[in-house]
Amino acid sequence: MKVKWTVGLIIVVGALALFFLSSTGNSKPVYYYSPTEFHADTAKQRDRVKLKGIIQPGSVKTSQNHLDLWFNVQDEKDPSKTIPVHYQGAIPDAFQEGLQIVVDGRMDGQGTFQGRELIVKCPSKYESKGKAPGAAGDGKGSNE
Amino acid sequence: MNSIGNYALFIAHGLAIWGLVASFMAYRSRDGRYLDSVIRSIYGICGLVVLAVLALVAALLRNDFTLKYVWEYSRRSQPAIYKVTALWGGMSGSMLFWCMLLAVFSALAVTFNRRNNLRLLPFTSFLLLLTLGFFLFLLNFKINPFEPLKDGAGQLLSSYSPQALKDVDGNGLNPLLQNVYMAIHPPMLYLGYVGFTIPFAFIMGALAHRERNTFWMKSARNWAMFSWLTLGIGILLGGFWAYIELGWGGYWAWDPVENASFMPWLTGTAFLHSFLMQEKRGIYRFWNVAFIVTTFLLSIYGTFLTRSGILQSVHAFGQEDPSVPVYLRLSTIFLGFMALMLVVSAVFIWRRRALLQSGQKLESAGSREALFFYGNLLMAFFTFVVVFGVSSPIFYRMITHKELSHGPEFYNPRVLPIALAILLVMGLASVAPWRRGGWESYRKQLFIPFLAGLSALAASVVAFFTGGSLSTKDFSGRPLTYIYLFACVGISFFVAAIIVEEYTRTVRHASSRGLTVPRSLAAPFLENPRRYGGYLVHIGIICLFLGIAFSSTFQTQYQESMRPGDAVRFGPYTVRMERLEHDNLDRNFSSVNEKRIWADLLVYRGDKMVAYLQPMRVFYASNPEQPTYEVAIHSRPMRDFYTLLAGYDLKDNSAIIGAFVNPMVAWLWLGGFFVLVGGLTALVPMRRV
Repeated sequence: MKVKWTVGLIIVVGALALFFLSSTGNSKPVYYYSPTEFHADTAKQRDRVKLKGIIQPGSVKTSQNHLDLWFNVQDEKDPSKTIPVHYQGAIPDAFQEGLQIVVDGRMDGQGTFQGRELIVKCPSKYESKGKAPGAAGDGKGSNE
Repeated sequence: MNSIGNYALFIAHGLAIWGLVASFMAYRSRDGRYLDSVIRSIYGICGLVVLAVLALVAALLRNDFTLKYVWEYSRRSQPAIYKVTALWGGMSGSMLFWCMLLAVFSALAVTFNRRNNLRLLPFTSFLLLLTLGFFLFLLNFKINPFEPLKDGAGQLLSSYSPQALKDVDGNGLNPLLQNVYMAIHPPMLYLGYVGFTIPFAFIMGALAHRERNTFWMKSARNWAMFSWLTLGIGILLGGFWAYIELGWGGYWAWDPVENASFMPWLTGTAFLHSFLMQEKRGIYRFWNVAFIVTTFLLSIYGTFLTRSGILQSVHAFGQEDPSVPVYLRLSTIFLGFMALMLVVSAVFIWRRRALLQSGQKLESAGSREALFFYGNLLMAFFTFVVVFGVSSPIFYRMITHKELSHGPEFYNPRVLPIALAILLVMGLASVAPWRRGGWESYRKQLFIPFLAGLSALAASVVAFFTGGSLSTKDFSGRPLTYIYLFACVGISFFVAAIIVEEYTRTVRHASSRGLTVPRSLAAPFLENPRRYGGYLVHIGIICLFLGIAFSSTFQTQYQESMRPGDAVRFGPYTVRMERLEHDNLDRNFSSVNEKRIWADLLVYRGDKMVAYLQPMRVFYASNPEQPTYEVAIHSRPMRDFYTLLAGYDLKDNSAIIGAFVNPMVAWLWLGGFFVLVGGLTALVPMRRV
């Protein structure tokens, strides 16, 4: 039964080799950065990263046809740190000012982060931390 | 009414604790009276948890906003069906639903096996009760679905006057979840997740009680098959939902929450196959125990990942409150439970290791037994890659406090070759002879399939390089993608030909016995439903492989600004926009749940009109700021034309129409259909002819 174990061994070695050798080139992991971390880590500023923060209230602009989108990603801990983002394409369903967002993309030469994918995190919808109705008869539950 | 739910959960928890003690006593003393008590407590838990679910559903339907859960996931204008499905729209409701399924399954399993497999029941029940007790503990003390709602001033809403309560309305279910597929998808997943607990408990029970009889195996196999099937269909429904609801033109993104359901499905697949070997030959006992324990743990892990919000994911469930001490956090409790089950399993595997040795040795490296072994090894590696991809960001964050995520760039190069190898082994294993595999036996049966595979491979290469739309430039841009695609085509035809060859041989054999033609055609399924049901599943898997390979390689995306009257080309299609229309878009949602904007599109191929599509944006009452996509798809076997209303400007009467041409996506759904039919054929053996 040596052959069976030889074949088994080939599979194991092959799969392991595949697993470790694939971690070069395009398949590098994509790291998450807050605006503060992103500013601090100059080495990463040309790489593809996931920028994570808050959609700064008041910063959202869209072109007239709702296709181009500009907004600032604001640091969750330090509101003074922001990074301007441009994104073109379909705006995700749950995109709203003040919500957490992850922008997958990279910095362009002009200091604007060009997003290629927006991932909107919307905890208040899936797992609400929403406050209860403010007072009796308020009618609408505030939704953060 | 709500207190009924609370009491029911509390008493059920007490019963689970008693049941645990009694099952331990039954295991030690083998006194039948203890076992009777265990069984009664399982029935009792089942009744009480069902009662609690009914109480919560009633509260949802009655708009009882004194409950926090109801207020968070329902609102008055929500259609009744989505009030019911809000039961699994949030954390605590879905845990209650999970618990109910497990209680019902446990009661059924105990009832069915009371007569024949009584000897296994003490330890089997012990494991079932341990799992039930864990979820009941969470529901009672950690994530109670009957938690009362307080207003901003800290006053309970249940103390409001009926008049004041009338003015309260809830948040409402996430609009994305207000979709009929999303109503079915989570329960299907849960049926699968929960179902695997039963075969796990039975196999560990058989091990603990040193059961030599193999009678219980049929029951375990059927439960595993049922769970595997529902989990698989659940995953596919999730993909279908993403495809038609999220508007990005795809169905799978290696999102951690998708992976969470995929991991137990992979190990479940491996388990079903090696368990077959145990039934037939008595081999691979250790593998089976290892696979079922892993599947069970991954089901729990999957439930936890999906619901705890520990991961960065588009599914983005709630994050944990950092003020809660670590040992009280949900993640700690879940990981603790998993560790407990792992230790219990490991202890019994170690103590009973003599029972896990195979009675027989394998005779040949080319035998069917050996091929199943290779297949399982590949499955194990596939699972490893996914588990690593999902879990490493969690550990990375714990160590460095930085986050990373793995997307398709991580998974695809690592799993695609493994997946193709699995496909190949899947085909070879169905012709490999038992015990001995010689070159001779292969040569005879594989000649035609080999030719079929080779010619399909050659045809795809030729079509690729001579076809107008693609060129060698595309190839050198990403050679691996195309090499995998060609390999996928070749192997798929090879395997399909093997299955067709097997089938025709059986049909010919049946007709030579004098059966009529329709009877002969049905004979394989009637006479050997497990085998041919399995082949049907394999045909479905081939469809899935082809659908995934083509749709992911050749997807093309378009986007155009259009006004009524404009006609624009999108690849092979020409789209004419007729109108841009909308409902009354004021902010008043008091009587309606949704409002729409839509474009009327006429789709032409050449001069022929092929479809009338209406991509929409829908404003839901629960989130009126942001409209959701309602895509419109013209679906044909070889190509989907997928449109969405990406943007709109009502003042200007213009719209941005986004479109995808997705080849062969329909093959995924067709594959799912074959898997379902084949699985049911294998699961519900028909009357023998």
